[in-house]
Amino acid sequence: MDGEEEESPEPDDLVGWRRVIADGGLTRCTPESVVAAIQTIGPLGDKRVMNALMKHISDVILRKLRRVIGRNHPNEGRDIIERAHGGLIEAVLQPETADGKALLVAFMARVHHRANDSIRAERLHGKRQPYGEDETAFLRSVDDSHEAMEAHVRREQLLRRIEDPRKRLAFRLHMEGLTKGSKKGLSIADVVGRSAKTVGEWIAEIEEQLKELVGDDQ
Amino acid sequence: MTDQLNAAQRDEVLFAFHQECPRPTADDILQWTKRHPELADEIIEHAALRLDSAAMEGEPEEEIEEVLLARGHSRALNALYNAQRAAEAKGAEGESATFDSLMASAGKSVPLLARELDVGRDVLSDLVSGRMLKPIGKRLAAAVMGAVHASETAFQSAVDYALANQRLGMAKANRQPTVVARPYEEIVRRSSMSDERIAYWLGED
Repeated sequence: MDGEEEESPEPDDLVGWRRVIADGGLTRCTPESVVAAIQTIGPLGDKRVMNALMKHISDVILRKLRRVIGRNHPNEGRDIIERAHGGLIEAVLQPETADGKALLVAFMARVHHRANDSIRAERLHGKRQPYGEDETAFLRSVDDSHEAMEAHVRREQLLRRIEDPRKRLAFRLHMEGLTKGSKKGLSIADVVGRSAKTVGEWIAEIEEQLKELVGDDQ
Repeated sequence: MTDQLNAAQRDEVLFAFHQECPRPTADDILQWTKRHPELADEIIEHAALRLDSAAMEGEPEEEIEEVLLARGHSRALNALYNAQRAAEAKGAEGESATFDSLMASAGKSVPLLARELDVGRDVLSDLVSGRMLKPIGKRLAAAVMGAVHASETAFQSAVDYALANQRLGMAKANRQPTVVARPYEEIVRRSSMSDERIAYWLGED
């Protein structure tokens, strides 16, 4: 959310919120201030104001979820998004719950956190499908033909196909230069809780796949 | 219950990790998994997801499908509607509660309740007829609330209603019937209960 931030009305300033809504200024208010207004005015408060605030906060939640939850999931991640959204939109109205409290002070962080929770739940209980839908869409979105950017794009494309979060983490740490395994000092094996041998196998596997990907391009 | 507690604790730890380490380093991950070994799997996965997100920064924002926004609105207004219904029900329960309605819902009569609670019928009768001044003795209030499954709000509401609509005693020959509300203690002491029961109902919790 760029642009100057509107000074949000006090949570109980109904007139102020009516004005902001009429001016189309909700996008310039912090989501925390909108949640505060929703929780203060309450479900029995001014219907028009509450409807507008709820619809706006719903949009904010969804845009964040869409940003965090990639399309490399069944149904392009829409199921995960809707599940996470369902819980969050109810929590907005429940100041006594943990989510309700957290959205009041750290809105984006909480939405992001719940998104990650939902992704993990999907991975554990659902079936993740291979990234088949529209691989090229991802590549199309990157205009820059700079070599480094291309390499980044290729790597990310590949990493997103890897289901196991430990493997992805291991490879990222490898890219940062961390040793695979070591008797002294920090190693990837330590961090991901696997043997140096396993980590080595993972890295080799991914590097092999990367080579094939480059090969495909040429 | 332990499941709920554990879920809440797990959530707190993971959210704290999320906020403190927006871009977790190897060190961060190791520290946190050492601190919370029972959540190692979760921490590692959340770290991986955070780094996935970080790698996506700088990419053009995904266009969000209209259908998601529309369904989101629908869900939002639905949640609001449900919250409205819940709030109204909560309010109504308090506002319209009378001893008549509370006792009828519980299927109790004054004589029955008096026997059940082992309290004088005269005491109970005074309570429900608005002849007992506030504050109502804690033990009696608690006992009645329990027996008719009333919330504190509903009970207080019923007491207020009764006091405002006192039932008249028997009319005397040539005078208007009068009602005198008396304090709890006085009513209990003057009742026909045994000394032991009187002492009980006058006791604090």
